[in-house]
Amino acid sequence: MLKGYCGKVLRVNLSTRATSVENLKEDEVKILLGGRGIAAKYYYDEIGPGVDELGPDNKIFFMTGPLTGTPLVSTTKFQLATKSPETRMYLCSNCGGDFGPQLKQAGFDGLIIEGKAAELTWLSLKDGALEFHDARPWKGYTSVKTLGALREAFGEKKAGAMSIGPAGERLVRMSYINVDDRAFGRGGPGAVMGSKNLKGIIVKGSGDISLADAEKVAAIRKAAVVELKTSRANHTKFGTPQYVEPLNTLGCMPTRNFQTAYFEDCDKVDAHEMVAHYVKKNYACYRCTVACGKMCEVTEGPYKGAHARTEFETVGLLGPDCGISDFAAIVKGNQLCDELGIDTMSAGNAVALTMELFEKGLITKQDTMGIDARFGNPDALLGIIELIAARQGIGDLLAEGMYGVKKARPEWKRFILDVKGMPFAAYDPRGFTGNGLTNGTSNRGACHNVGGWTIRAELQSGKYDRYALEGKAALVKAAQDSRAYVDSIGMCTVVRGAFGFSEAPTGEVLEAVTGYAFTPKLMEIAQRIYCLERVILNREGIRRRDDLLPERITKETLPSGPTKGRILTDAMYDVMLKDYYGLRGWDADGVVTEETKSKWGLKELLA
Amino acid sequence: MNGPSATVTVRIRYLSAIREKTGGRRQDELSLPHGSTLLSVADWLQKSYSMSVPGPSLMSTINGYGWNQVPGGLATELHEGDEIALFPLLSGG
Ligand code: SF4
Repeated sequence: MLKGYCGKVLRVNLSTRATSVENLKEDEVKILLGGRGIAAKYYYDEIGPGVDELGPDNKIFFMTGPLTGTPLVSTTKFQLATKSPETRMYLCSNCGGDFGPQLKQAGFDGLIIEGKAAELTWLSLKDGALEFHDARPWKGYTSVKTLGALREAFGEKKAGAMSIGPAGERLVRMSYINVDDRAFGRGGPGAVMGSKNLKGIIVKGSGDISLADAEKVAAIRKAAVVELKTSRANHTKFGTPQYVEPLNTLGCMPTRNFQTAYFEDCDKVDAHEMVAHYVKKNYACYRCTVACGKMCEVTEGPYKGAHARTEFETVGLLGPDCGISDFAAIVKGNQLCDELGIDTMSAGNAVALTMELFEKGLITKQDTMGIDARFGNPDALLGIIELIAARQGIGDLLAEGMYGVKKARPEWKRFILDVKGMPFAAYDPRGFTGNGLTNGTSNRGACHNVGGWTIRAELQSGKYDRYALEGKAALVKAAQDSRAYVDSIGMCTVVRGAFGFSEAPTGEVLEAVTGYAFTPKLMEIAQRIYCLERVILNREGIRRRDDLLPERITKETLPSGPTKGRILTDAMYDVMLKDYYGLRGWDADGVVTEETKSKWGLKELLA
Repeated sequence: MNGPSATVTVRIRYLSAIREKTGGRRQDELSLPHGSTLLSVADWLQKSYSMSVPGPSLMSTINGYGWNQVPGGLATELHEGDEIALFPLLSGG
C-alpha cells in the first residue's frame, strides 16, 4: 500500500457484534484517492436504491484521506457516506475534529458501521481493539454531554469522539453527528446512528502514519504555516462570520425565509459585534494553525451563559433568515441545536418556513404549541428548535425534513427553499447566478460546498458578470471538482491554497506523503468521483427535474435591497443547466452517459 | 469652477475585517473632480490607508459589481453617489 494510508478498513456489525478488517485496494486508491471518493465506491457497492435510510440495511462509511492525521496543517478532515434521512438519497459529508486522525493512528483508513444494535450502544476503539458498551444510561443525553461521558468512560481525554443528541435518538431527519465539537452537519446522519441504536464512538490510536518523505513533508509544512499566518489572518480573528456584512451588502443574505436578500439589522449580527461582545476564545481543529472557530459566550441578558462555536451559515440562517437581530439569541439557538443534536442550517430553514407560514396565517398557535412564531422573535426561534428536536406540534412534521414537509403539504412548496430535500445554505442565488447552478447540481442537494462555491470568482475574477449566465457552467463544474478531491485528501479546505490544492493543482505534498504522483491526476480523479456520485444518484432515481431550483428563486423577484428586482428564472437556469450537462457528459435528463462512464473508467470500476 | 457639477462624491464603505486597515473607520465620502475614475479612488486608498485596490488580498465592488467586472476597469468614470465597497476575500462559509 502507498505511504500515508494504513491500508485497512474496520467493519463493525451492530446486529451481530461481528467485526472484520478488510484491505483498502491500492488500485482503487490510485483512482479515487480516499475520503469522499472511496466512501462513494463503498456506497455504490453496498447501498442499493431500495435501502431504507433508517433501516438496518443502511450503513455509514467513515473514510479518512491520505493526509488525515499527517504532520502537516489542518489534517483533521474525514468523510462519511450514508443514505440520507433528510434527502432520502446518497449523502457525503465532511468533518474535522480529532476522530479522523485518531482513527488512522489506530491503524484504520476507514470505519464501516452496519446493522442495528439491540439496545442503545457505544463503541470504543483503542488501536486494534473494538469494544461494545451499554449506552442505555445515556439515553436522552445531549450530544455534548455524551462526548464528555464517552471520554470519562473510556478514560482518555485526548481521544477522538462522536455522538448524537436526543434528536438523533428520535430519528429527527436533520440530526447531526457531533465530532469533537465539529459536525457532520448536513443530511441527517445523526438519525442514521439513532436508527442503529448507536449513541457514540470513541477512538484512540498510538501508531504512526508512514510518510514517503518525512523531511519534505516538514519543509512543506513550515512554508505553509508562514503563508497561512498572513493569508488567513482574518479567519483567525473573525472566523467565517466575517462574511455576514459583505454578503448582506451584496444583496445575497437570506432574510425572512428568502423573502428578500438584504437584512436591515445586519450590524447587530456581524463579525464585529461578535468579536466585540461574544468571542471568548478561538477553537482549532487537529493540527490547525488558523483556528477559525470562534467560541462565543453570552455574558448578560436573558441568554446569559449561552455558548456555542458560531459560524457564518449559522448566523445567516438562525439570524437574518429568521429575522433575528439579537446575536445572543443566535448563540443560544446554536447551542440548543448542538445539544439537541440538529443541524443549524436545516433548523434555520425550518424555523424560517414556520415563521412565514405563521405570519401568512397558514398555521396557527395550535400548530406551534402556543409560540408566537413571528419573524424576529427570539423566543420563537428557540421554541421551534425545541419542537423539532422533541417532535412536538409542527416540529413533528418539520423533523421529517423538507422532503417530508413537501410530501405532506404540497401547497407549501412555494415557501420551501431546498433542492432534492436539502435546505439552502445562507446565500441567495438571485444575487449570483452561478450559485443557483451550485445548489441545483450539488451531489447532495442544495449545498454551497459540494456544489462548488463560486461567489468570489463571480465577483472578482473579471471573467464573469454576477447576474449573467455565460461561463457559469464551467466555473461551477471546476469548483465542484476541486472540492471533490479536497474532500478526499483529508485536509481542511480553508488551508488548501497554501498547499497548491486549486483547480489547477500544483505542489508535491501528496507525493511527499504517499510516494505516488497524485497531483497531476487530481482533477481527473475529482471528475471520476463526481461522476460516480451522479451514477449513484441516477440509480436512486435522480433526474433533471430534481436539479431544478425552488419557486421562490425562479418566480419571485427580490423586492428590496441592493439586488432589488433580480430573479433567476427557470429559463435562465435552463441555459446554465444545459451547458453544465454538456460539460459533464450527462444526457438531457441529467443521466450519466455510457460514454462518460467509460471516459472515467467507471465501467470497469463498477463492473 | 466650484459649482455642483465640478466634483463627484462617492462613498467608500469598509466592510468586516477591512476595518482593521482603516483604524475602525466604516466609511469615507470622497469628493473628486468631475471625470475622475476608479483609478483616483485606488490612489486615494493607497495614500490614505496603504491599501492596494484592486488587489489579490481583498475584494472591491462599485455599485455591487467587482472592479474587475466593470467594462472600463480602473478607467471607469465615477458618477455622483457611486458606492464602493471593500471587504475581505470571501470563501465558502
Ligand atoms: S481552518 Fe477552521 S475548520 Fe479548518 S481545520 Fe482550522 S479550525 Fe478547523
